[in-house]
Amino acid sequence: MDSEEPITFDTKVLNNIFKTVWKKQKTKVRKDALLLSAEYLRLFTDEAISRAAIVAKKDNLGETLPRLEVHHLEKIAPQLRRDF
Amino acid sequence: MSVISPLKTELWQRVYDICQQEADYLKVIPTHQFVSALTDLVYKQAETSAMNMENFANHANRTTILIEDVKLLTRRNEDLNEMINNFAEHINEKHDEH
Repeated sequence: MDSEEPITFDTKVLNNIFKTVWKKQKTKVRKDALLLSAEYLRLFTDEAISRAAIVAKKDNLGETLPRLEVHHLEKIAPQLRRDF
Repeated sequence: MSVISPLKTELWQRVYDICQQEADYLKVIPTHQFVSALTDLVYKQAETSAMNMENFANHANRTTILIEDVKLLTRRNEDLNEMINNFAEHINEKHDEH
């Protein structure tokens, strides 16, 4: 793959999402933990796409550029959530 | 039709970019609906992770979530745990350079 940094999530956006579900007002997250969270979610996203692609390719044997559809994602989502 | 929150829209931007990058490599075409559904899934995972990390921090009598709490998310998956640990070291290395 390329040597550039892979695209990852914005720590500000993640912090804001986290804040919507935290139960205690005092809860905070350190910057380095936010960076690691971004990587965790990037890996999650990558894995979702990879697993969905496997299903899509199986369903569309012979097609050079199969489309990733919602039902491909739905198929792999339960196990993915368990694995992460 | 549901209204998409601004936060979800921001997340969608990156999910879209990641899909494009991966799609090139995997030789697949993600549909618009796929990207939206994936965004919902990632958003949900972010929420669940945040709640779990808050619990881990609380358990250790802290109000601030630290790297060790993120690592705990991956404790049941050896491969993932290793990747996360490696990345954590890489974060610290960058930190030390300043």
